[in-house]
Amino acid sequence: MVRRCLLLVVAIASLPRHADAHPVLDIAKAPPPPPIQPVIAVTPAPAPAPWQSLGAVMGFVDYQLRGHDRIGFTYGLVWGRQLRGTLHLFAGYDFVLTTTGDVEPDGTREEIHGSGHRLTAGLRYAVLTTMLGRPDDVSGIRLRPHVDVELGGAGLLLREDVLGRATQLHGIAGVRLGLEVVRAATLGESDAPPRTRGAVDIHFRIDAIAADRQVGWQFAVGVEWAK
Amino acid sequence: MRSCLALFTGLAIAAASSPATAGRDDWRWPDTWTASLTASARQIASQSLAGPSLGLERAWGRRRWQAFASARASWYFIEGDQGPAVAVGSGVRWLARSFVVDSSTAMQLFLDGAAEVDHAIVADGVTIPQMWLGWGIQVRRLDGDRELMIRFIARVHVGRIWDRDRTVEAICRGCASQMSWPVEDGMTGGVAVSW
Repeated sequence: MVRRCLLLVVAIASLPRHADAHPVLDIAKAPPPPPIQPVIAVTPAPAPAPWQSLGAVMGFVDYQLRGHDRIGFTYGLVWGRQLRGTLHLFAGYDFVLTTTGDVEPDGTREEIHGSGHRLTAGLRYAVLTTMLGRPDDVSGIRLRPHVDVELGGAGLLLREDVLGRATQLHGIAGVRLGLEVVRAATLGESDAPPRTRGAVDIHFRIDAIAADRQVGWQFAVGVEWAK
Repeated sequence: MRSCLALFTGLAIAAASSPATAGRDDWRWPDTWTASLTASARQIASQSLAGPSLGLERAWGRRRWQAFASARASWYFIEGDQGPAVAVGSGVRWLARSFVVDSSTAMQLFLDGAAEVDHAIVADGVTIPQMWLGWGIQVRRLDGDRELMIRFIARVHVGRIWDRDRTVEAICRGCASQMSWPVEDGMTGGVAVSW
């Protein structure tokens, strides 16, 4: 009886011990699985909407029309939209009031009665910009001075008492100096209610105008509301 | 009792300290009266018709919209002539943008448009039914007993003269051959106070 028992023990001991043959035994020896970590769903924050602006501008323009000098005032609306980073698209409408023409032989300027409409479109890019003020400032306002370069074109439809009706396409290249007053909430720096968000941009523009193989210039001051 | 007092005090402090939201709603037009001082210039028969105007307007607000009726008295100058003029009209105004500077002031942009009839007693009488589209910037007080707005306005007019041939002949005196343009356009700019 004892011999039979010994043979049985030896037989059991000599059985192969790889995992396939004895999975239960191997699992029992395996290290305990790591504790299950709770999964937290992370929703990415929505990308901020592109900066969009609308505002009013006024200025004066000195340009060449069919070889004649013309000076006038401009009043208009301008719309802008952020394309990427500090690159913006802009489009505008101006009412143009022409008042002055060529220099007369006696040195005075020719008086012109003319008016017209101009549509403008182009791109502007901020080459210098910085943000002033602290996010936790009690005013909730930060300032962003900026220097932009802009490039675009315009179409002008004009009527005057000397040249009659005229149309002209011209190119525009210039610099825009501005100061943007920004609500800190707009920058995501506080959770203020929507009505205390937004920005106002006050700017000066100096542009060269290329038309009829001659160069004129324009100066304008504007205020734009951004959201 | 003490907890009610504490709650009331807390609410009062919160209402007094919350900026901007404590005042009037800057996105809502109130009913207003407006007095304006403007100057306009337009082209008629290759001549400039221009002059200053005093205006009065009554407006009724509803959310971001305002309907208005207006009257204006002007003094126009045209080539070798001058005289008074009156205009009446009505239109709508839309509050396009608002920036709350602090709890008492907002800086706003609005767009407006109107139809009106302008009659000038110059050149034997010129009557111009016209439409105008405009825009303006206003500084608006949000606190106090009554709203106050100071506006800077610009308007582009497009119109056509009644009895055009007679008017052109009276104004132009021989330059009618230049008149191929079907409409008369012009511009108005000025300031206004609204309350």
